[in-house]
Amino acid sequence: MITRRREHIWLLMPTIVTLFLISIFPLIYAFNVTLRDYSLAGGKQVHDFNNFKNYAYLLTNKEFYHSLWVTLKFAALCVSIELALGLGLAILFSSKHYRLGSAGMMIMLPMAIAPAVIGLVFRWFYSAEVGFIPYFLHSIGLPSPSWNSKGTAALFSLVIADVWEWTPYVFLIATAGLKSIQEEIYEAADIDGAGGWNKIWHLTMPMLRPTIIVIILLRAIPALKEFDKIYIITDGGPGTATEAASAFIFKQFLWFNNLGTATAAAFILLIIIIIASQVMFRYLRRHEEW
Amino acid sequence: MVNAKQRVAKTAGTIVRYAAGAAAIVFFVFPLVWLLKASFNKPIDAITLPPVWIFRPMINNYLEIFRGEPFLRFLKNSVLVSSFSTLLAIVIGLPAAYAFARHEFKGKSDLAFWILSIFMFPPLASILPYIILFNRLNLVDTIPGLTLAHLGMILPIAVWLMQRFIREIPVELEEAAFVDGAGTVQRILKVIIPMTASGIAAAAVFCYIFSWNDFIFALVLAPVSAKTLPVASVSLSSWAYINWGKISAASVIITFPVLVLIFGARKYLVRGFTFGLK
Repeated sequence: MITRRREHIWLLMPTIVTLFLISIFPLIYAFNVTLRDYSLAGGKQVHDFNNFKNYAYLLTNKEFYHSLWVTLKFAALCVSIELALGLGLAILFSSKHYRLGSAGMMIMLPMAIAPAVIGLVFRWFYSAEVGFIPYFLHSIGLPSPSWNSKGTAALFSLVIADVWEWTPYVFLIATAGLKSIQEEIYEAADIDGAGGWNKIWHLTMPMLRPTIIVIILLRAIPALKEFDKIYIITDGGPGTATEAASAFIFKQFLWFNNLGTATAAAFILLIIIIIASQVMFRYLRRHEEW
Repeated sequence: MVNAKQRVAKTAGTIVRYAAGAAAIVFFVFPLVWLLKASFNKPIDAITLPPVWIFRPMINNYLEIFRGEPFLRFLKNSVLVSSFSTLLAIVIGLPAAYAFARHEFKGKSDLAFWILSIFMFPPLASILPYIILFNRLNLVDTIPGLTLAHLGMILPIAVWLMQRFIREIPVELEEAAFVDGAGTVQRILKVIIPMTASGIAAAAVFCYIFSWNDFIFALVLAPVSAKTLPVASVSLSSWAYINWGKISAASVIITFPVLVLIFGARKYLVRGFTFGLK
């Protein structure tokens, strides 16, 4: 080829140095913080090694385990609902005769909207006094759950906002995946007289498997670290019902000014996410040409 | 021969499709239409239920956030942070993207996936140490500080997207330049950049949007003087009496540039939001 030996080192250098300085070094530094008593409150400048007290505190803390459980529930609900809706829509509009066209562009809008804006709109929509959702449910004769005071309803209020934000994304990836399934196979199935459901179940689903796995992984990781919408819509409440891991970490930091514990919790979340993303990458690398 | 049963099934299918399509469009577009409407309402009309759809639009909400609050400064902060972090990500990332696309070396895919995994990290894991480090470097609540934090977040995406777009350029074009004696830097400048201009622009669009939309980094690292639009609009909602008209206007101001950028980069939508993974 046309490349000189070892030239790539110089090309890669700026990116590697930058990422080391602003992403990796802070993490190493953070690990050091997790081993100490650390508070930003004035006066206290000595940060002693505290014998893994931060980790011990977390691993015996019910609220921390609860936050991990909330994180898992939230991620599982979001990923499964988004997958079902996004894939369903993609299949419905995959045939040549029914493309969404420019209307399809319109349903892409949510994923470009700032999470802060989405949080604000949904917080407004769920409000008991001025919210559109309680009003709408009442006007069609349905009872409206108390979104702000019941734990399950509050969790679902977050899931619904996330479904609104990311179902179009799933639809987009699923549509691209469906397009790559060759049309001839479909035509062959038509000649054999395979009906709609049969075709979807026995032909489309198996061929879409790589796409489905990519979707699950690309959605699961952001869902595990979700913070913005939780902070804005429920702020972890009522009580700690929707306090996912990120919200727990933030609370340790902001309310208790306990940087050591907060960072240790962030580290545990980081490890969970690294494991999840390694699973993802191991799968994706088999499908990428490198 | 088409029999009656098949015809009924086909009609039913069409109806289901139209109904599902219409429902999806209403569901995904409605909150945005609502915001747009409320931003032109009088504050009291913005929260009236049932909603009033026919009204005389007024721009007081927009005037008020610029007059009553320092929104012009927040807007400027947002533009500066997103522009600088995007520019840095593209300039720093382009050579690396070129190396990933064109060079063969040991551990290439490990390195590429290591870079991408940084984007997957939970923001809080790096934000907390940033608080301490920025304190020492006097970067707390400054534009350069937030720009650096955003650069750490978007540089991996910039590298991944650009390497994907460079791969799509036939290598023969570069070989011709190589025969003419052009070195790597010249080939990047004279062949790669012109050929992948729209791809690089799309990568920049996605970096810009990630930085522009960021909430958590800005919330912690830029609480007062370097405050950006998303944080500013959320802090509008912390008053006892929430003026939803003003919040809607702020939300429209955050959203509008993103929609323009996304429309410009619509060809790259799938690749952009999947980081160029297949």
